[in-house]
Amino acid sequence: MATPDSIPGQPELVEYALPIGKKAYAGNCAECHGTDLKGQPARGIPNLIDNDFLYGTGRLSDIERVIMYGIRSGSSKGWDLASMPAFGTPKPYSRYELASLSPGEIDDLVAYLRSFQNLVEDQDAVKRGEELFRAYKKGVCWDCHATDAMGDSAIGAPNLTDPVWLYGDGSAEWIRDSITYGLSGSCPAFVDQLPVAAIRSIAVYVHSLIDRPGQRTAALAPGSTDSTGR
Amino acid sequence: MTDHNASSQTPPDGSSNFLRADKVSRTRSMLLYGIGTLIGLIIGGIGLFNARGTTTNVVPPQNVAMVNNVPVLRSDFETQLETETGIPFSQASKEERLRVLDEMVREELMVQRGLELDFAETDQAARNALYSAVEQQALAEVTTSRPTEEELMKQYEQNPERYATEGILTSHNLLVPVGDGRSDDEAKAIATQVAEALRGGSSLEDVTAKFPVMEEKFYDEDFYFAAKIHMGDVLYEAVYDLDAGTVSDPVKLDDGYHVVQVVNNQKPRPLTYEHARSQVLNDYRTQQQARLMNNTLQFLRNRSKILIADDYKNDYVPQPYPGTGSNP
Repeated sequence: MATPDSIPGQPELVEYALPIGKKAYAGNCAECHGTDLKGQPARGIPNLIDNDFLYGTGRLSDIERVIMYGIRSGSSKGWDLASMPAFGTPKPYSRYELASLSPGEIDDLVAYLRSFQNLVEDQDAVKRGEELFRAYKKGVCWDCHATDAMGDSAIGAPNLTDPVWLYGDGSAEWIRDSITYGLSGSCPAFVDQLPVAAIRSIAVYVHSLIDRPGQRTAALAPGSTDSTGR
Repeated sequence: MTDHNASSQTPPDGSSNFLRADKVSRTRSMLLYGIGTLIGLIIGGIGLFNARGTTTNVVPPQNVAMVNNVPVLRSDFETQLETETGIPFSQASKEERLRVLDEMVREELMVQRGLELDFAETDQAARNALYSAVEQQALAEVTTSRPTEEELMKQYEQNPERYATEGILTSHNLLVPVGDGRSDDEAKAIATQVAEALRGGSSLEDVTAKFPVMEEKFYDEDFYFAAKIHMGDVLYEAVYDLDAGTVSDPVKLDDGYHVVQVVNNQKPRPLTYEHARSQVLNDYRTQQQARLMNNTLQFLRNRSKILIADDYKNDYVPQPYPGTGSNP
């Protein structure tokens, strides 16, 4: 029995699964993630093939699990360990007590996060933001995003140091909105809607198209047709 | 009428043997019927009291085990192993795989036993888990629903005050205390003079030097909700709508008269739909969840027989669904 992560190394299995996965993807995933699999940043719908992974590390088994049980889907096996608090509201987080932040504190955090892309000149704000990011009583950002702000794919906390933004374009306005109003995207669980084989085939299809540096993407690109013309 | 009553009539010659044979045949039928029933009951009993009697001998390829016909998915098995060992499934040893497999089989057995023992009736943790699971299952469709842009836009347009930035207030709060020989009227008169002086362009330093007033607090860029908490409802109501540079009238609180000088007031401004969309979507889903759960609870109530004790039945009224995670 092939394990999910062994499939990419077995061309005959990949070849078998790709057309099935492509068709199942088009019918179930493309509506949100797009036929090009590149998502919608303005709506927090992630690009699936940019080699940047919110949950897991991009293994086929990671992808399969998200498709199977979803994210904040209501399935107890889905990913739902944390959400981005709304720090600019009276009660930032529903799961436990967190202090609200003031507009100035949020601006400091924005400065700190944008400093990773060398986009900030106010170094005092960056320093204050960094302190707040690592504070224990306020902010507490490190708890999910790690002290180095590189995130934690075990709970879906994104890396904040790279230029990839799940929501928006990385502008100060978008980052401020994310910190102020919070975020909690979701993905349905397909375990009760699709056969296990179809779910695995979608995972194979998505996995095959991930743009990994130094690797050639799969022959069955989104716009192409397979050998059967589907 | 053909011959349904034939057996009650006088039989023709030789028919007595036929009748006797008929009588014997009925006895035998009853006996065989009884034996068949007994065998059926025995088989049913075995199936009922020994779950092994109903298991299949085939494990479908997507499963790693079947426990009383309940599948243990390979996907779950692989995830469980990786969670426990912290290594990729492909690198796990046979022993590790077997250990995790045994754990999962054991868990399934225990869960099934828990169902037999009906812990839902007696164990609060099990009840909480079931409440949460049913709630999540009922809401799953809404939680991940994909409303149309028209539906979201309608939600956005109908709640303009909700989809706006939070206002930001920066202010000085001056206090003229009552007490220590100063009457209420005296304090009010001083506070009025303080307000007029500030409105006339006097600096904060001049005012605090000239009048028996103290700066109780400087609120530096508070969101409106935070300003409301810091100032209290009464003072906030008197201040939040003032423009930058203006001064409030004296406001009487328990400790004396307050005069607030508004340094800056960024009033709420509408968020564009694109910026508010995530919030609109969450609100839409929250409303749909409440509607769905109220319908679900209504359905459950309608098909249930709920008896309330005499001392409460006249006052008992089902409440609207209070939101997810509300299990008491």
